[in-house]
Amino acid sequence: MLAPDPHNPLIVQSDHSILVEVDNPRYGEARDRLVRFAELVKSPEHIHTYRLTPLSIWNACAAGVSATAIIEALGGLAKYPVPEHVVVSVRDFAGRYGHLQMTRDARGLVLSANDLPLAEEIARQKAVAPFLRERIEPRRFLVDPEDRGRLKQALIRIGFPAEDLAGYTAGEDFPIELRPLTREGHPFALRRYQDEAARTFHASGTERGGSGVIVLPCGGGKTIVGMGCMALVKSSTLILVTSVTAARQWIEELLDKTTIPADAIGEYSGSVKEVRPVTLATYQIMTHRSSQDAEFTHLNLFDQRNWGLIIYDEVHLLPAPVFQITATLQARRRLGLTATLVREDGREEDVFALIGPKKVDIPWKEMEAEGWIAKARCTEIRLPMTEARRFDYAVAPARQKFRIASENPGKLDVVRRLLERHAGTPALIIGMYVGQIQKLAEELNIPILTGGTPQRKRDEIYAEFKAGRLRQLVVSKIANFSVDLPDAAVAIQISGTFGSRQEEAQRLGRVLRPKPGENQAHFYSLVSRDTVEQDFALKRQLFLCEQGYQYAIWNLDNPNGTMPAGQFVGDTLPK
Amino acid sequence: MHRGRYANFVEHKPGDWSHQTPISEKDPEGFAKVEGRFVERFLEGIPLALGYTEVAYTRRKTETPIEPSRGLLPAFRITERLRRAVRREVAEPKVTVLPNFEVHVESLFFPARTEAQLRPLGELVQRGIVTVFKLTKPKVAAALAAQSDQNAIETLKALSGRELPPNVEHELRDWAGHSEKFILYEGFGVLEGTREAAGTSRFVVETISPSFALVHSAEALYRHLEAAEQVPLRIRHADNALAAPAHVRSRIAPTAAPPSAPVKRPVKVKRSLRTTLWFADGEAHAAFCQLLLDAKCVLAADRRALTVSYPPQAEPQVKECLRKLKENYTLAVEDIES
Repeated sequence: MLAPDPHNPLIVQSDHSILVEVDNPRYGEARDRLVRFAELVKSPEHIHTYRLTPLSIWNACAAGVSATAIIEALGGLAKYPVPEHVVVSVRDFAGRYGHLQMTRDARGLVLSANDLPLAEEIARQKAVAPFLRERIEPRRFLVDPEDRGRLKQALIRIGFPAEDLAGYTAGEDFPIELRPLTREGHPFALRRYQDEAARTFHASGTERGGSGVIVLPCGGGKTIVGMGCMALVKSSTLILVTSVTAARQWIEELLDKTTIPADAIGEYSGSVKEVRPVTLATYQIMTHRSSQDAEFTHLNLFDQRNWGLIIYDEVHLLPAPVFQITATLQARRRLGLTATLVREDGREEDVFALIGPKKVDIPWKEMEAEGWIAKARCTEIRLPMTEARRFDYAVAPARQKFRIASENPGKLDVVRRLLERHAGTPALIIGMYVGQIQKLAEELNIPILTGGTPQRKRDEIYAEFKAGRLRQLVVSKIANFSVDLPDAAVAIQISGTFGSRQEEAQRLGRVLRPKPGENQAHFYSLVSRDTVEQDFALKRQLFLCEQGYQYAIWNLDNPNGTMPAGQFVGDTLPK
Repeated sequence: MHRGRYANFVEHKPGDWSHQTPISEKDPEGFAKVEGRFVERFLEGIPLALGYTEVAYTRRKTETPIEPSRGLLPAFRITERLRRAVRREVAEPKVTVLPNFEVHVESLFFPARTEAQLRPLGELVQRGIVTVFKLTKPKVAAALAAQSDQNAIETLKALSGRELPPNVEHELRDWAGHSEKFILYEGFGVLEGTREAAGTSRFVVETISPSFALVHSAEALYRHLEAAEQVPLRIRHADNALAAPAHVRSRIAPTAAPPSAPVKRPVKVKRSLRTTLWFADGEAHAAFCQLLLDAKCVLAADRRALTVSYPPQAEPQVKECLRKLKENYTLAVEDIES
């Protein structure tokens, strides 16, 4: 290992966390190397934190990075000696990957251990033994193809991930090509990183590729990468998405940018049940059942065609029943797309075992620096409540305080002034309480979308917004996921739960698509000062700062008062 | 009497204190036995605790186990910390305040002074070469309440040597505004009314308004006013009417210990449930007992009372034997009130 150098950017702590100095000249090199074997935990200004975990090491091993390469990277970039036990852990974690391999031969699906003691150990593990059908050789076990996923899950839980080299069924052939010109006549080609991501996933069709997760920031073009993978696999494809709106936007994109004819694309949702060579289904319909004890009747969609590729959009939201069925679909190519591997339920291991290892992870800030996504400015505007409302707030039960603060009527004037400031720029106003956003929409005469808006109406409004005929839109929580609003440059959040990291990322993602001109997006949050809403907003502040975004706070003495000059140069608002 | 340089040193087998072997100065291994042990004990003492050395232990057992142990620490190495200490390159801790309210203190040596300044303002999150604190609102507010001249912003600026992230500075200023100091007076009283009687001023601690004042020694004041024929009226408030409001983060007045709940003496009651089958027929009872024995199921059977008693876990075997018994008898099992 190289000797540590005090001019290096990296400090490896004893608890397996890695701190990286952003201002160091070798930061770029450190980031590019760390992303291959460590998980980025937070990236606030000045110092970024990564963490080494068994899963991050196994992901690296799956991508061909060896323990020696990891240790050399750490030693070569470290400011102080790398703790000895961290080096031992890296060797230990990496040493476990690849000791078990799943292959296919004339006898069927075979799990092989590279030595006898390991074979003995797994044979005696209670969690693993039920999935080993027969010991055909001292180091080899026959496995039922149905148990391929469950066995991988069990092995990862005991700390011995299996390398799955058993290959895939070809699936039904279906020619898919990307158009050089979109249907609307615009030139189209995959961006460099999108092309690389698709090729990394496909791995020239070998068994070393074909299953895994691609992590791209919101606005990075996950749908396009998905289409790139489809064009490489050239097989019938099942695409699972989070909502009907998302399904329809996928369909639009497929029609616009690929050669797939309209009659070859099917929608499988609550209202339509089409199964075609390319089918889009929602997680909701897949997990629908008539009662709590009934079976999931729509899960048989997985068997209704010989799918060659299954795409899981927003894989961090994959519901448990779909995980279960995915465990039995290990012979099909599987692609997970997401902006974050963090699952609120902590089932990241299942994503690794059942969908596949992380294949590509491009940090948000890197894409921002390259201009592929917009630069975001986050501003929290704190405004007071009227004295009467403060009394209501003071005497309200704890559970109602948040709502009273969130629905502060003073926010209306601030929204109006922000919209004036960004006149002509596409803007979304996002709120949690339907009554509040309805009133705001009426006052400002802006169309509104809520959960109760019929799908046809939603599609119309989205189309107007995308065409630029509509510049402002009020939306409820429905816009959190997979709503492709390419031209939104301003988001004003007037109320929210602020509890979920995913929700914040997704809301910010609404404005991150690249913009013409200065490529600048604005994310405003309006909160009532000295209330619980401000406390909740602190969580969002932490999250966004840890994602590396600039965060400014403005205090208003009253909703109509002068907006103070912000911490961003030139940020003054009209009176 | 053992004499010589190593006169105070003895060895013994583990646990056997009665047979101690002295170490002779003439013993060819005497030096290793005594000085070697000293080196081992030294290395795993202060240098290790200070992080100046890392030690390696061996699992190798000595042929004859002996105490104090010897030869189990065959190697050590000095650390970067010792090298820098020897070269007198002990740098000041480098403090960085991040926008996510973390304060990173980078120091090869324990940053005692910096830590003492940061501890009142935040929670310790991580310790290592970089010690991480997280600034929190309750801590900052409490620190300001306890020490009004404390200025968190200036402290952090001085430590880090640069401006704080704007959002952190903004929040700290906000939190400081939340640290109003309340003083809780216990055992004091409030005097209401015009203070006409002479001599009341010596009881007044704080004048609230012309007709209100905070007073000490309320009993003495009451007697004083009665003596002055002021006809005072005394109102006593229950202590719980003066309780501190909920969620008070810090207080200067001493806090009375909460009343402890009466201690209940633990009493353990054991319970077991058993089922008893009452047979009306001696032959059937005997046949059933035989079936139980055949099934290697030993239960409490009373041949005089024609009963068989069993615990719930024997239920499956009993059922199986009853099923077999039905092959030869027409059996009806009837539940009876106990």
